[in-house]
Amino acid sequence: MGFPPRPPTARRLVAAAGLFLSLCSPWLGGCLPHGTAPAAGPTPATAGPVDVPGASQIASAPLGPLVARKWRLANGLNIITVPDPGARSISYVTAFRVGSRDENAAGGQTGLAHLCEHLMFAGTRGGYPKGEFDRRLESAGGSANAMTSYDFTSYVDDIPPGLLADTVHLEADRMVNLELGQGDVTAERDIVIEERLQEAQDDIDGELEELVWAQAFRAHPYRWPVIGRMADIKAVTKDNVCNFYQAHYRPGRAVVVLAGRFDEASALTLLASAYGAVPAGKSDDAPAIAPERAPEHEVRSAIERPVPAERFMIGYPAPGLADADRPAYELMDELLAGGPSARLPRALMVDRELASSVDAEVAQTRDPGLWTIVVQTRKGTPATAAEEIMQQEIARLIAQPVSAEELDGARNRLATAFWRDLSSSQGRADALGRYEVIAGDFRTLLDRGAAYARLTPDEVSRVARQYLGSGARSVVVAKPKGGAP
Amino acid sequence: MSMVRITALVTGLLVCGSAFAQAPEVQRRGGPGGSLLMVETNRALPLVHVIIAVRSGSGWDPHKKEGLAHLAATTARRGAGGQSRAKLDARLDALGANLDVVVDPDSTRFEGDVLAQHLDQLLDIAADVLLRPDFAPDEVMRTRRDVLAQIDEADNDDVALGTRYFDRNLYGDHPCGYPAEGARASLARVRREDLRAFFAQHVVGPNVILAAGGDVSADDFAAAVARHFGALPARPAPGPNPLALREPQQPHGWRIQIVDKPDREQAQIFFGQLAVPAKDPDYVPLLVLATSFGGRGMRATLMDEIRTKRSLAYGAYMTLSERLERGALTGWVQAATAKAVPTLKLALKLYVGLMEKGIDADRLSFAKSFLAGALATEMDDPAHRLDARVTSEIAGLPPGFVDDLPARVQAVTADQLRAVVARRIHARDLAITIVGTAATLRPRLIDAKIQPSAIDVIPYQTF
Repeated sequence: MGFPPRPPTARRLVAAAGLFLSLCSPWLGGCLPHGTAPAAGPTPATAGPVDVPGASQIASAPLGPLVARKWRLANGLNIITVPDPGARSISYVTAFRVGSRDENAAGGQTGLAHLCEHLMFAGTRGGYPKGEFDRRLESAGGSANAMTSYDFTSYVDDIPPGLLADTVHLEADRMVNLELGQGDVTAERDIVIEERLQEAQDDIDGELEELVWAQAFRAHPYRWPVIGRMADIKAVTKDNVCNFYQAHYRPGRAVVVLAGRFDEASALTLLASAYGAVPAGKSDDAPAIAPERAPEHEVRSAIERPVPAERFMIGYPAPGLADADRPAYELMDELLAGGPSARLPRALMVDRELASSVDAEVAQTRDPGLWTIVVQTRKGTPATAAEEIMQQEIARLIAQPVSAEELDGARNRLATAFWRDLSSSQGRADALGRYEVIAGDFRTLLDRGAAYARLTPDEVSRVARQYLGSGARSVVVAKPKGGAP
Repeated sequence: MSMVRITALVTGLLVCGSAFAQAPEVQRRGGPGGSLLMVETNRALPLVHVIIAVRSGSGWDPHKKEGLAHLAATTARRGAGGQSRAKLDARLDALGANLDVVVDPDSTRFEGDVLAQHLDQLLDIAADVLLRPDFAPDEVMRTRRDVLAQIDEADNDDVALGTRYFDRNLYGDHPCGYPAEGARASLARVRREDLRAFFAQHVVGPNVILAAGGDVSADDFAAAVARHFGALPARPAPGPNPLALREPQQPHGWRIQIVDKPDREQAQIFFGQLAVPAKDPDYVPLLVLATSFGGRGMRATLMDEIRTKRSLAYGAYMTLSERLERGALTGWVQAATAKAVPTLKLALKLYVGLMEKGIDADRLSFAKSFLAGALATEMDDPAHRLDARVTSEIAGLPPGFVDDLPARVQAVTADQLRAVVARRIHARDLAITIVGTAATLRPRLIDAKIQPSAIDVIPYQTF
C-alpha cells in the first residue's frame, strides 16, 4: 500500500480560515455574473463504474480500500468522489482555483479573495435569503466553514447524508448567483478587521509570518498577506467584491469533492443536474504570474514585542507543490524537523536546551514558496545561537547523506501522518481538493509514497544543497520588549 | 427542526439508508491487572489510534505541588526501561509513531497513532513508559526546565493565557484552577520521589484503560496488551477523586479581572460559572442549553447577536466541559479594545436573559436537531470516537453514552430545560477574565459601571 505524504497543515498557509461564516445585512443590489440559477440539464454520458448522464469519468486512483474518482461536467466543473460506506457523514468541499494571488495589490485591493469567501454565505438572487445557508445546514446537524489561501479558496460543508441534496442546490446556486448589498460588505468587513487583529496583529506567529513572506518576495503576490492589509480591508467597496466574484467564480475554476457515506450514482446524478446548467462563463485563463524563487539572498529584520525570550522565523526557498523536487524536499523537512528525534528539535531542544519549541512547514503553494521554521528560544538564549546550530545541521545534511535507517524512519512518519490526515471524510475531501486545485491533479497526493520510495540519500542532500545551501533566507526576530531575553 | 424534517430530506434522494449510520461496534473486555480494554475495529485505513489512560490526572495534584501528574508522565515518556529520551524518541520515530502525553484534571493519557504493522512495537515502548519509568535525576531536572520554558512560551498566546487565568479566577486554589502543567512556583516544589509515588499509586490495573481504534481486531489487541502489560499491578485503584472532597465555590457577583499584557489591540474576554459533573442528570440538558446559547454554529445566540447582527467580534462561543466532578460553562469572545466593553455588556445581558427567560420552543428544537446531527458528524473517524469514548468512561458515564448521546439530546424536554435553567444558570455570579492592555481597558470598564466593586489587574506573567 502506498503512503503519500502528510498534506502540510493549514497552520500558516491559510492566514484567513473563516470560522463559522455568515452574513448580516440588507442587500442593496446584486452581483450576478452569469445570469441564471442552476437547473437540471443533461450532458453526454460516459463510461465508468457508474454511468451518470452529464458526468464523464476522467481519472481514478485507489485510496486504501476506497477509490477516488474524478469526473467532469460539460461546463468544466470537476468533481471528485470518494464513497465510504463505513463513514457516518459526508464532507462536501468546493475548492476554487482563486486566492490572494488574484488580487490587485497595486490598486489597494489586498484581502478581496478572503472577504469574498466570507460573503459567499450571503443570499442569492432568486435562491435563498441571507442566513438561509447556515440555517438549512445547522437545522439538521451540518456545519459550514471556509478558508482562503494564496492559491485557492475552499468551502467545507460537513453534513449528515440526508442533507446532500439540499447542500448541492445551495452550493450550485451560490457559485454564480451571489447577491450582495453594501450593508453586507460593510458588516463582513468589520468582522474581517476583528479577524485580522486576532490572527495577525495580536498574534506573534501571524505577524512573523507576514514579515517573513513580505521581505522574501520582491514581485510575486505571495508577498502580501492572504487576509489583506488593514488599510485595504477598511477601504473595500461592494463593487470591488462583486467584480472579484464575477471575474473568478465559475465552474471551470472549481472542483467539488464528496467524501463519506453516499451512493455514488445517486450523488453524481444530483450534482450533474444541479451544476450542469451553470454557464461555463468566460475563458478560464488566469493572468500569468511569473514564479519567483525567493528570497534571492539573506534578508533580515527585527521587531520588539512582549515575548518571553527571542522568537524567530526563518523562510527558505521551497519548490511548489507539483515541482519534481517536492518529494525530496518534503523528506528533507521530515528529516530536519518532522519528529522529536529529527535533527533540529534534537539539537535545539534536547541536546543543547536552547529552545522550547521548533516548528517547521513547507507551504503548499502552486509557485515556489517558502519552508518556514519558527523557534522559541529559552530565556537567556539569543536567536543567533539557535540559528548557528540550525545552520550547522543544514550543512551536515548537505555534506553527509543520511543513513538508510534514518530515511526509512522519515518515510514511516510521513506515512503515518498521511493516513491520520485522511482518516476522516473531511480530511480526505480537503486534501484531495487542495491537490487538485494547487497541483493540478489529486493523484499527485496519492503518488507521493512511491516518489519517496524512489529517493536516495544523495537526492535529499542534493535538494538541501540546492535550496538551502546558498544562504538565501528571510529572517525575522521578535525580541522581548524593553529588555534582554 | 425535528428528526421528521431530516427524514423528509432523505426521501428520494439517496439510497444509503438512514440519516445517520449505525455506530461501529466497540468491544470492552478485562485486561491485565484488572484494566479495561476498549477496541473499535475499522479496516478502512492501515492505521491504529491508541490511548492508554490512567484515571487520575492533575485533579490529584497536592496543593502547592500543582503540575505533579504532568511532570511525572512527561518524565516517564523521556526515560524508561533504561532507555534515554533520545533512544525512546528514535524508536518511535523509526516506526513513524508518536506517543504524546495529555493530562487533564481527570486523567493522564499516553496516546498516539501508528501504522497497523507496528502496533506491537508501539505497545512495547508504551509498556516501558508506564511500567518501567526511570525518573533519572538528571531527566527530572531537564524535564522540569523544559516545562517551565513551555509555560513561558504559552504567554505568547492570548487565548491560552486567558484560559489559564480564567480557570484560576473561577476555581481559585482548587486543583482545577491550575493548568495541568502547574505553575512556576508549584513546579519547584515537586520532588523526584513525588513522581515515583504518583506512578506507584495510580498506574495500577483497575485504574488503567487501554484503548485502540482502527486496523486491529479486539483479539489481536488483547493478545498484544497481555504480552506487554502483563506486569500491570493488580493493586486496588486509588481512593476517591480528591476533587470531590474539595468542592469549588461559585463566584459571588461578577468577579472581573484584567490580565494586563502590553500593546494589545484586541481583548480576549472569558466569562463563566461552575456547572455539573458529566454524570449529573442535568448534564445533557445543559449541553443543549450551551449549544443553543454559544455552541458550534452560526445560529447560536452569542454568534448571532455579537457577530452576525452587530459585527462586534469574529467569534463568540460557550462550552460545557465534560468532567468527572464539576465542570464549567465558559463563554469566550474577542473584540477590538474599543469594542470590548460593549461586547462584554452585550454578552452578559444575553446570559442574564438566558437565566431569566430560558429558550423558546423553536430554539430548543433547532438546538436539539443541530447538536444531535453535529455529534454524529463529529464522530466520523475512529480516533475521534475513541477519544470521546475514553473521556466518557473516565467521566463516569455508562458504556454506550457516546453512541446514545444524539438520542439523549433529542429526548430533552422544554420542562427539563426550564428546571435546569432555574437550578444551574447563575448569570449574576460569574468569573470574568479579560486579557488586554489594562491602561486602555480599565478606564472603559470603570466608566461603563459594569461592576461596582474593584476590578483586579494582574500582570500577565504572574504565574
